[in-house]
Amino acid sequence: MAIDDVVRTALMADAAFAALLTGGVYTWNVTGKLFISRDNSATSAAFDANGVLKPCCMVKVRSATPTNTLSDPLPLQGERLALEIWFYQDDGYATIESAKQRAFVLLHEACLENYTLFSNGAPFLRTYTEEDFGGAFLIRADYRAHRINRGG
Amino acid sequence: MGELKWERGATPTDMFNRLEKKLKSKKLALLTLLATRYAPQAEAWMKMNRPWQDRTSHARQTLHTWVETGSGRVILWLAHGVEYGVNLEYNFAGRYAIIAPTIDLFAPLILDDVRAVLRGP
Repeated sequence: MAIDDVVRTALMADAAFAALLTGGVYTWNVTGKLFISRDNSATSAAFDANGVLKPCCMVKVRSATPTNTLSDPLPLQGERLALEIWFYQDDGYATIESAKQRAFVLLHEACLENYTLFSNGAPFLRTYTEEDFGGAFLIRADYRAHRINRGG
Repeated sequence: MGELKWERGATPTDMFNRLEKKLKSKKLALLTLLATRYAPQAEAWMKMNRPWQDRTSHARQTLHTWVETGSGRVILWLAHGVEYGVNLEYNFAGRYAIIAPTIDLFAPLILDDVRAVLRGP
């Protein structure tokens, strides 16, 4: 399973996290190219009966880059990738701020599928709102995931 | 690095401070050169690997980089030149972002070279 889906599963399995993010946790594999949208049947849980966005998040992974910090005659190579969690809330930050903190408890220094995750903190995105959700508030939390690939 | 003479009356602390200053300015010059070398490479890579489909080509054409030095720092900036660059970076959970992936690729390469520069010959 891809690391973003693994993280999604881990977050959804936590009752406290799920109670905060009633709109759900998504990845590109779940949403497809339509992203979180009212027109996307895979993300209908992210909106209430009036079409207003519920607190939810999107887990996104960027491409892996090799790390050159490991030097070994054996065919081992380190790999690092950036993981972004985008939290969305229709109005205000209260719920997604709590969810971000809960995610930190669950993910920082956690080992998932041979990856070890470390928090990179949260970039300052509070002046920005997601226009496609009618100006929804967003917070992004970044993590980096490390693992060692054992070559053939 | 040039000559550093022990002047009459200078204390070891003075000499150490002067040596440190000289070393720092040399390293900073080398790091500036390094950043200046990587800037066009990063810009070309951003333009080539942008995840969006060109409509007017303005977004691609105005992707740019520059090097800023001062206060003991060297900064390699990667930037959009269009007003909606921020939307490309942040909308749809960064689906059309190009800055962060460029950093992912170039940061390890640059840091390797920075380590080599700081380590010295």
